[in-house]
Amino acid sequence: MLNRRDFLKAGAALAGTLGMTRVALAEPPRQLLMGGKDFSRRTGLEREMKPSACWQCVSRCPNVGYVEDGRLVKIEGQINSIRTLGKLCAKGQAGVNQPNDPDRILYPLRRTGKRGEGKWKKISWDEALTEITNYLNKLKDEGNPEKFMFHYGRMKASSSKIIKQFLAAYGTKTIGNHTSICEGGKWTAQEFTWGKHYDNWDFDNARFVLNFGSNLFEAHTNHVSTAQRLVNAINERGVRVVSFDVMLSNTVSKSGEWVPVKPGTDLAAVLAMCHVIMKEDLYLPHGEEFLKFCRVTENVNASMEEKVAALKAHLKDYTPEWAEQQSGVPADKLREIARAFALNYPAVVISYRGAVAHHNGHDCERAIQMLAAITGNIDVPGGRCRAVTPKWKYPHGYPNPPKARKLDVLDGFKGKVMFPTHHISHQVLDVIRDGSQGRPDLYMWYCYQPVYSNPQVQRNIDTLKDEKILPFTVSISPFYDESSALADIILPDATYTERWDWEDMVSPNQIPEYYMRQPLVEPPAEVRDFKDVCIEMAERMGFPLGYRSAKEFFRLSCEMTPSVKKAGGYDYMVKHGVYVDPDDKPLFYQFLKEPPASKLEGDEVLFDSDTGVYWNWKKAHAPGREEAAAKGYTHSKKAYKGYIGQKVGDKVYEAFKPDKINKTGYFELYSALMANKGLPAMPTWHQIPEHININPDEMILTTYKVNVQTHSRTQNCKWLTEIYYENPAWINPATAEQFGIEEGDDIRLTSGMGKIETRARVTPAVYPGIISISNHCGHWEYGRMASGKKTLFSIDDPDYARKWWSENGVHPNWIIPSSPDPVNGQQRWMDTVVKVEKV
Amino acid sequence: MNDRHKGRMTDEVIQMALSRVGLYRLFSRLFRYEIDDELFDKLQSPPLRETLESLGLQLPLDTDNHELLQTLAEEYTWLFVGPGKHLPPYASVQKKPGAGLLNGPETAAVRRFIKGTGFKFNDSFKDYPDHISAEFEYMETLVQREHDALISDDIVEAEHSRTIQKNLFEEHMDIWIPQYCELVLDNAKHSFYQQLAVSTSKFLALERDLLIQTTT
Repeated sequence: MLNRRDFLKAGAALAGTLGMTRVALAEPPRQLLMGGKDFSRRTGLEREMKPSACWQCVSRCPNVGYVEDGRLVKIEGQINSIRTLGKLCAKGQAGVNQPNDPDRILYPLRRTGKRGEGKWKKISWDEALTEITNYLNKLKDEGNPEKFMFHYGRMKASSSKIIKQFLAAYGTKTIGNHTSICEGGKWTAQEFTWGKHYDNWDFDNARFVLNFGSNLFEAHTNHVSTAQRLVNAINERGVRVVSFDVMLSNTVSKSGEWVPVKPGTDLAAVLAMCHVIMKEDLYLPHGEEFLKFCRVTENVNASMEEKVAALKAHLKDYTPEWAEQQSGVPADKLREIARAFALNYPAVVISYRGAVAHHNGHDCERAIQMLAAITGNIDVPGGRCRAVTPKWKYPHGYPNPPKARKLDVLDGFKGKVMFPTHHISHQVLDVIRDGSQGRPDLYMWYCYQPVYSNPQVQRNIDTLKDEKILPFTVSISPFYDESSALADIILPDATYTERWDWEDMVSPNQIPEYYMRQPLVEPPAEVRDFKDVCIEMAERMGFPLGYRSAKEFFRLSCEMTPSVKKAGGYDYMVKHGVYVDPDDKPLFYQFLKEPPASKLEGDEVLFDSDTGVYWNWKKAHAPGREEAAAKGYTHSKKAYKGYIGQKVGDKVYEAFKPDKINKTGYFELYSALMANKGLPAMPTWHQIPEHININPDEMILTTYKVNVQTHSRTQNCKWLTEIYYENPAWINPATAEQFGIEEGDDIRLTSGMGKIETRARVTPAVYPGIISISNHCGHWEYGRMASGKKTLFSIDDPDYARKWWSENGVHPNWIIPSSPDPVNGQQRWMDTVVKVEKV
Repeated sequence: MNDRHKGRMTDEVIQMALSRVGLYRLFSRLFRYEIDDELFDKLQSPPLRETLESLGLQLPLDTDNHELLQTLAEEYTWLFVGPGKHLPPYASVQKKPGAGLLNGPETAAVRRFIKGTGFKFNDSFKDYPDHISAEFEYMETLVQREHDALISDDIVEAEHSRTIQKNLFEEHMDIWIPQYCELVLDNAKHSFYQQLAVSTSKFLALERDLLIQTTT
């Protein structure tokens, strides 16, 4: 039995033998104090307010953080933001939970057992970076830098610039994204029509809003900025909103009218409305005016009469009666909505995954663009507009990057998808598993959940776990998620409340807003912002990026960006967080801008008579003028990079500048590029193949999002998960009766990928024949709140003790197959057919 | 009290302070990092090995050192670092009732307490001040200050230090570390960390007697 004597004896020996090493404390003070004026234990301290920016979702709204005693205690909206008008959603306010999550990773870790076994050892940054850079150097020395694959989920603005500068300096272009599980299909379809990939909806000026499958009151890439403007339009101006959707989402419930539609048939409804508008000449006058800038036939010089005739001919058979058969929407209703849309100019048609994440999603989005175009609602106040963002200037990194190399693993299986302009991220692991298109040796992911976020979860796990397929895996994450569990090394990333960035999200009112993110608190323990890690790795490998930190990159960017510099540069931004140039006006009618005459002249400029495009063959990196002229604009590789303007009538306009594909500068309702690939040149109906023959024991599985969770990275926030922690499957009462299912029954869903079990919520708020499950729940890692797993100390965690719910829902991705849209590669989240049975 | 008696008592007090410095130093180190080669060699050397054994801490002798250190590092990581289920060694996570947060109110309270006594944190120290090892290190420094004051016959300073120690112990350490040691004991797989939990707990019980009973 130990007694004081034993301890004293031992202690004396220890004091004499163990050297003193102070880790936490600097030199002790000369005089011990009993409290101080700055740290009163009675009165507490004043809160410090810092402007910064959210990152809970991709909207990245400006925010303000309140810090007390070195602790982030509150986050609010940024009142000076013209985007958010001072508002911040529940997710943004719950950002307080991120830095204080007791389950976060504070040190670099290396696995010690088998991959996925859960055995780890804390290592130093030096050990981690030495191992990683040695590996990278080896790949490079062997001439295979492309075998370093970097795969990111969210990487925007200055984060994207810095990290991509690192990757470019190293020499790999094997860089994956996550866009095909998000909105890649919508983006590609827009590139095929107006060139750029992102649309803004001007609710401030619209008189009518027509919605196809967007739940913008709950989830949108520009959520708070757009949602509140639509709310204002409804409440203050009585704007009518009509929503086509398979479910009564919160957006639909606030609309004037819900038009329930069979899944995958929005395209039929849109084509029928276009039919009505053209047949009844409702395209006059605004549509006719805009058609001047549209390509409707192979002949780019077609007259207005020819264009109108071509449209009418194409749409002739898409009658409302035909569409009723396809979509279940009454023909008269389609007629009425089409007329209302055309006659209430300006009107905006909006769309998202509900309409687009289907086998016919590419043409559905193109048809929606057509509807906007033939009513003249493109790039006008109150219409559907091309995005406006602030144009930051910034340092360009290592001056002599090598010619980068790329593995062919980003765009799915060869020849399966025609135009994957935003890659097919959800098939990356499948392609790697297959191996015939190459494999990376080092697979590193950042702010990404390859296991959880993609379809067919089990196969993702099997691939990531297999050391023969992926010899070295590195995860960069603040939290231990389902994917980090399968990494060899985990690098602890800073949460967004601890980072430096400039930001550049789209403005809802067409006026660019410059804003920034600064640390509200410092990264704790060994946590580091990955941008700073990239900068250090570049230094270590001998290609310095030219700045020492993300903070310095931000400071330099402030100096380099004229309007920000004029406002006061770095100091201004740190103090105020947002800046809007008072001289900036909303950017509408951008297509009417004419390029200066000097740009249309010179040896480098070619006029392509087939398309009417002026282009700079040098900027397009064509080998020479003659070859470029001979091949022509459409058939020269990446000619779009040299686009200057489009000849329309007697004038040249900047018009609709292409991006990623060699479309003309017209707004293309007719796509020669698609025709060249044997696809319909104009938006054309086809039914979802899986939906043609559905058995009596099957339903169509759809997914959706709610307003208090992002897809996979907020479930650790206890405030949010208390609000939304489970996701029973929605089934229409009529369908439930057919299946013998009642409210609260345990049910099993089976697809070719496997089975999941959940509970039934029988509700008329979903279309018959559908089973709908949100995609936020069912984590099995990501901390105690997300996974629902008790932690070792849960009995002592007071908040966990107050956790009054026990379920954590189910993740539908276990049974959703990886199935890209054949044109653009978008994951078809809404097409899966599943067998449903009562357990 | 005659001078001779007083002198003997002071020697004992000085000796006790020195011992306490050593113990806090050891526990701070063991909770701060896994055992590396250097510390292992020190702890295995004959005088310290016996000392550790007297505290109930035994490092196995008959195994491959490299393997042992690897096992201990895994155990240290699993218990105190994560990822996933682990025992975050922070007052703000462990104190009950409390916030259950990293960098919670208890973190701020300890930071205020430490700064309130005139201390500053090392610029390189990025961890939270309510980490068990940081609290031990701070206490070690306070006891060292007491020890040094006693040697230079500065009784006022020594008592001043002892008062701060008492406050620290009562307000910040004793409210969570004993229970935390029970958690470590219940969950540790390796005997060394079970022993560490027991030994720490016993030492703190003695500290409780010392600081609360003898300091006014």
